[in-house]
Amino acid sequence: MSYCVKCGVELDDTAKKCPLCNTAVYMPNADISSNEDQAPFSQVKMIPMDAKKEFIASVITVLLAIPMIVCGIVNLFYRKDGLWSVYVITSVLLFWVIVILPFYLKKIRPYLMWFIDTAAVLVYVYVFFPLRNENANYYLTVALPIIAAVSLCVLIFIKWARGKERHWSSVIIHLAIDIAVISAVTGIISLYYSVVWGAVASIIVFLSVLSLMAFGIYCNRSAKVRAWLEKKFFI
Amino acid sequence: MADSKKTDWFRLDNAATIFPGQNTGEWSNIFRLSVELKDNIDPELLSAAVRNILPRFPSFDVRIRKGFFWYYFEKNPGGAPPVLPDINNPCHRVRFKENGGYLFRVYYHLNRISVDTFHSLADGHGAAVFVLSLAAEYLRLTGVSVSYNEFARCISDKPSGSELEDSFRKFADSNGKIKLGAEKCYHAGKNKLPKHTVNITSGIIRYSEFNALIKSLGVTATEYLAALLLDIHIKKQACEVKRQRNVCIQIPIDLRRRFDSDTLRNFTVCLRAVIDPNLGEYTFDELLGQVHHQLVLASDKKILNAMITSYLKAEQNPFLKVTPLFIKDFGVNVGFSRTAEQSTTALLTNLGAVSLPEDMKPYVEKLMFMPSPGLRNASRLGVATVNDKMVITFSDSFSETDVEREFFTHFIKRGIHVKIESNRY
Repeated sequence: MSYCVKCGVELDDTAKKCPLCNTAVYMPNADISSNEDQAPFSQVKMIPMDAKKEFIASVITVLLAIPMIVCGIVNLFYRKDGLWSVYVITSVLLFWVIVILPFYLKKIRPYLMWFIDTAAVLVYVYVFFPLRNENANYYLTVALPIIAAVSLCVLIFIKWARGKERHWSSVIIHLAIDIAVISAVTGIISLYYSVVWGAVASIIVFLSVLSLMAFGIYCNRSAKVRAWLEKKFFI
Repeated sequence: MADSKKTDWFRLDNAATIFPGQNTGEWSNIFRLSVELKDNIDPELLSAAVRNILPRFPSFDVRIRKGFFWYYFEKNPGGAPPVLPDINNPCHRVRFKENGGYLFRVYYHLNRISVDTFHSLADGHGAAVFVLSLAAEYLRLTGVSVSYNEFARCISDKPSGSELEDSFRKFADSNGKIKLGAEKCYHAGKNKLPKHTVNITSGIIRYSEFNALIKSLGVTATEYLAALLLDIHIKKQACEVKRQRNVCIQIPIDLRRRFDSDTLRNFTVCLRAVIDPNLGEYTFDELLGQVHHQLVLASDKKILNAMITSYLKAEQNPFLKVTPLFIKDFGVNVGFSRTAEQSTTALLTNLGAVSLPEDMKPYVEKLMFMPSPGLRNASRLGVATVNDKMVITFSDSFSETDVEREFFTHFIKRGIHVKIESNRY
C-alpha cells in the first residue's frame, strides 16, 4: 500500500507515479515491475480503424467508375474505331487494385496485396499489349521476366522489412539492391533484343542506384554521419 | 416502441435519435460501466453469460439500421458480441457494422467486467441493469447462487413491455414551453492528448464517510460533487483569464422515479448548475446552497415534463420528419461540431447507490461508471456506489490533471480516505 507524499491519496500498488501530481512513488522494498500485469487498467491501446478511409476509397471508386462507363459506352455505340476504351478501363482497374483496394482491407496484408498486385499487372500487360498489335511473343520474352523480377524483389523486400524494425540506411541499401537487380534484368533483356535505348537507360539506372547504395552503406557504417543526418533532416 | 411485439424492429427513443449523427472519432457517445468481482474473470464463462442474458434484454440485442428518414433498431441475428481483453482507451467510437453489429462491447481485465454502451441503446440506469444482470449470471455460471432484484434481473423472466417502452413518448404531455440552448461557458482543458488517448482517474471513497459529511450539510451527493466542481473551475478560471464566463456543470438526472417508469432505454434529461463568477466571490457553502436550490427548482416534475415535451416536439416537427436521414445526419454533425459542449464546463453523472441482492454483495468489489471523454469538457465524471464504495471516475482527453488533483485532495483535507486508480501509470 503506497501513498502520494504530496496529495495524500492512496495509490494502487502498481503505480510508479501519482496520477494526480506526477510525483514518483518511492517504495524501497517493493518490486513494482514484477506486478505490472496486475495494474488496474489494461496497457493495451486500441487504435480504431479510420472510418473516413473507407468512405474516401468509395468516393474515389465512384469517380473512377465514371470515365470507365463513359468511355465504354462511347466506344461501343459512337466511335467504333477499335477497342480503345479497353486501355482506359484496364488502366483504371489496375490503379484501383494497386492503390484503392488496400483501403478496404481491415488489416494490412502485404503478402496478399503482393499476390493480387502481381496478378493484376500480369493480366493488365497481357490484355494491353496484344491490343496494340505488339508481337505476341513480347509478353513471354520481355514482359513476363521483368514483371517476375520486380515481383520477386518486392516479395523479398516485404519479407525482409517485416522481420524486425530496420534503420532507414538499411532500407536505402535494400531498395537500391532491388532497383539494381530490376535494371540489370531489363538491361540484359534489352541487349538480347538489341534495344539500344533500353540498355542505355538500364545502365544509367543501375549506376545511379549503385551510388545510392554506396551512400546507404556509408551511412549504415558511420554512426556519426547517421546522427548528423538525423539531426539535420528529422521530420 | 410501438409494434415491437409484432415486428423485429423498433424506433430509437427521443434521446437516442441524436446520437448516431454525433458519432465521431472525438465524441463517441459511449459510456462504460465496469463491475469488479473478487476473483479473476474467466472469458469463456463471461461469453456464455453474455449469450444467456441477451434474450432477456431485447433492447440490447439489436443492430442499428438506416431508414430513409430515421435510424431504427432491429433484432441482431448475430447471436452475441465477442468478449474482448480490456483496452487502455475505452469508449472509442462505435462502428455500426463492427462487433457483429452490436452497439455494446464487453471487455474483461483481471477481476473486472466492463461494458461500453452506445448511448442510443440505454442510459446509465439501463446499462447498469444490463451489466449487473450480466455479472449475476456470470457468478451463477461459476457456481455461486445469486438471487434477483431490480438491478440484477431474472433472466428466465420475459422482458416486460414497460422495460422496452419509449418513456419520453409516454409521459411527455406538457403544454409548457422550455427554452432550449444556453450561453457559452468556461472550459478548462488546454492541451489535448494525442488521438485515441483517454485519461481515466478513479477515486474510491468509503460511502459511509462521505454520506456522514453530506448529511451534516443537508445536501445530496450529486449536489455536493457539483458544488465542488464549480468551486474548482471558478478558482481555476479566475487564475487563468480576465474575462470571467459562466461556469456550468451539466447533470443528467434519471426520470424513472419521478414518472414511474421502468424502461431500460434512455429516460434522462440534463439539468445545469450554473454560477456567474462576475456576481462576486462564492464560498463553498454558498455554492452548495446555490446548487441545491437550482437543482431542486429544476427537478420539479412539471418543469421536467415541459423539458421532455420540448425535446419530443423538436423530433416531431413535420419538416424535420420528412427530411431524409443523410441530411439530418449532416445537420446534426455540422451543428454539433460548432456548438458541442460550449454551454457546459463539466459533466457530472451520478448513478447513485446501486442495491445488489444480498447473496451477490460478497462477490462484488466495486462498480465504476465512466462517461466518454468530451470535446471541450476537461472534466467528465461518472459516480457509482455499491457495497459502501463510491467510485468517482474522471475521463478526459487533456493532459492537465489539476482539476482531478483539487477534486480528490478536497476529500483528503476533510479527513476522507481516497484511493486513486488510473490508466496513466
